[in-house]
Amino acid sequence: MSGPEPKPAPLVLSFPLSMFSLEGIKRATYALMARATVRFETTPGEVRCILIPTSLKEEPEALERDFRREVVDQDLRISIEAQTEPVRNAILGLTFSRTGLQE
Amino acid sequence: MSKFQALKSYKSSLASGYRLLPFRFTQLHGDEYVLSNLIGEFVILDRAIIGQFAQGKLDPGGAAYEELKAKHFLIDDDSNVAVDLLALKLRTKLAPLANFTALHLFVTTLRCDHSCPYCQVSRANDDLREFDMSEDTALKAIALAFRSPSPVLKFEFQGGESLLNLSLIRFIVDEVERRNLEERRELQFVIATNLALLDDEAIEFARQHNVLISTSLDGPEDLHNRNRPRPGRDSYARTIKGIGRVRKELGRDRVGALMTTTAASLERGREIIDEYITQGFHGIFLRPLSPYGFAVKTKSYQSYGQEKWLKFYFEGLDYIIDLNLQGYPFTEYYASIILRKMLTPFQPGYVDLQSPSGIGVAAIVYNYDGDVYASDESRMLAEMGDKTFCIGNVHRDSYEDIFLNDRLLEALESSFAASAPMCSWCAFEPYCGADPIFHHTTQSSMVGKKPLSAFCNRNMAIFKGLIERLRRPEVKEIFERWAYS
Repeated sequence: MSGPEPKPAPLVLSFPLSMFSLEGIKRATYALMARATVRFETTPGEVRCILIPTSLKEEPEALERDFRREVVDQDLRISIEAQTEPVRNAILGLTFSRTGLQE
Repeated sequence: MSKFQALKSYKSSLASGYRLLPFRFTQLHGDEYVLSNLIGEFVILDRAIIGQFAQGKLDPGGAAYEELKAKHFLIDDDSNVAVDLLALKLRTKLAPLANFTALHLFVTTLRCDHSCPYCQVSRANDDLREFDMSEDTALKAIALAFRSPSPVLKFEFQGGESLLNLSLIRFIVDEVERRNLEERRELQFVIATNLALLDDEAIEFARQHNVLISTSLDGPEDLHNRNRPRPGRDSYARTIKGIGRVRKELGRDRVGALMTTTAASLERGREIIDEYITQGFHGIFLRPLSPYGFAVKTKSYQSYGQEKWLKFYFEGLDYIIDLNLQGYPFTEYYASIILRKMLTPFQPGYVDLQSPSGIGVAAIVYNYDGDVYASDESRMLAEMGDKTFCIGNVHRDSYEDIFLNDRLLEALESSFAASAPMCSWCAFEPYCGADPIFHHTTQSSMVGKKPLSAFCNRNMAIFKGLIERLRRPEVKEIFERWAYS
């Protein structure tokens, strides 16, 4: 008689909100959706991410490394987006000036 | 008195720091990342250096600083013209959008003499005339095509087997040329045909009207005949004979060929490429099956996975690179489209790799029954019973009804890559496209969840593979030729 199918063990990672943005954590979750389903638990100063691997083949160490790296990368992306938004708008404004494409 | 200012005056601006220009970054592998700017110029940097760069701590004298400055990732007091240059280059890239629809595909018949299991357009038996386009339908479609503001209008005739309705192709070409006496557009005509039915009449017609021929060649004889069955099992012989005849009577460059990768092709990449060389072609488009039509019904699409196709693709690409290094010029066309985006300020008009998506905007399909589809894939999907991307009918709807159709506008707007999750922060977005039809078909969402998308995974792997290969100076030289050809 076969028992219930084994399930991947959840991985719990905490991120202090004084260091990481919630937006970055959510983006990282999205980027890794093929590898893990993520549940969030929030406290006033922290977000706990409970990662449930989508496959038994997923190595917990690799998943943790890649999730943490993605959160850091996403935070940096958000910071660069904010820093460069005015010049981005200026470039787009120049690009579409006198093209007749805009109303 | 010196003609030049002292060295310190040239260095002073660097001391005042630099400002970031918009850029995105994506992991290449390990700690190596690709950074790209708004127009797709790219730099490869270590992750730690990206952090220093973003924090304004990059050493102005270093190689990374110079490369980032040269490729418009930063401005300092010496280089603030970069904002204008970026705008100019971006404008060049986006200019074709203003021309709107250039490619007009006419499905002259669904009838076909072949019965290919991977067929993506769900052909009909070749004696069923009810699947032919009528002259009335063609006239209304031509009128719509001339409403496009594009200075170039390309009319492509597709099937089924388009030559089974040559009389209608002749009717359309005559009518288009008549109207163009006033319209003065640049016209191009292409007949997509398996060449099995090529005869004197078709050749003479193509000669008179400067028509290009596009055909299918899947590889060596046994593979081609296996992939493309027809009565007599002689598809290969007829195709090769037809290619030879077109070249002899119309000119060497008047015929092109496309191949489709089936499970049987996967271990035979070199043989397929060799076949193209034997037949005198100087390039090949290594393309996977799409999830539409008979390719799904017959499970051809599901017969091999993404990894197997990518292995096939890169083995083929590396073989082609070796051929070039040995002195035989030969191009892989999918790579050349992407390299044009990576290495030049120009935008190739390839529908699948455009954002906003090329559906309706770059190409439009007039089906045999008058229905108008946003792309070839849209009508393939309709033949499977899903008419989501049917955006009108030539007998019922005006140009405005069709091109301002909510279905089309919603697909274009929602799938726009620069604002789609994951695409919006991806360094490869300038090279990629939005494919709302693929994602609608595979995920029931026009945007698609990119981490789960075969389109995204396949293209990401190809972008990374091309960037890796660009590190070799001798390969870079070849790739630059492809990009500008």
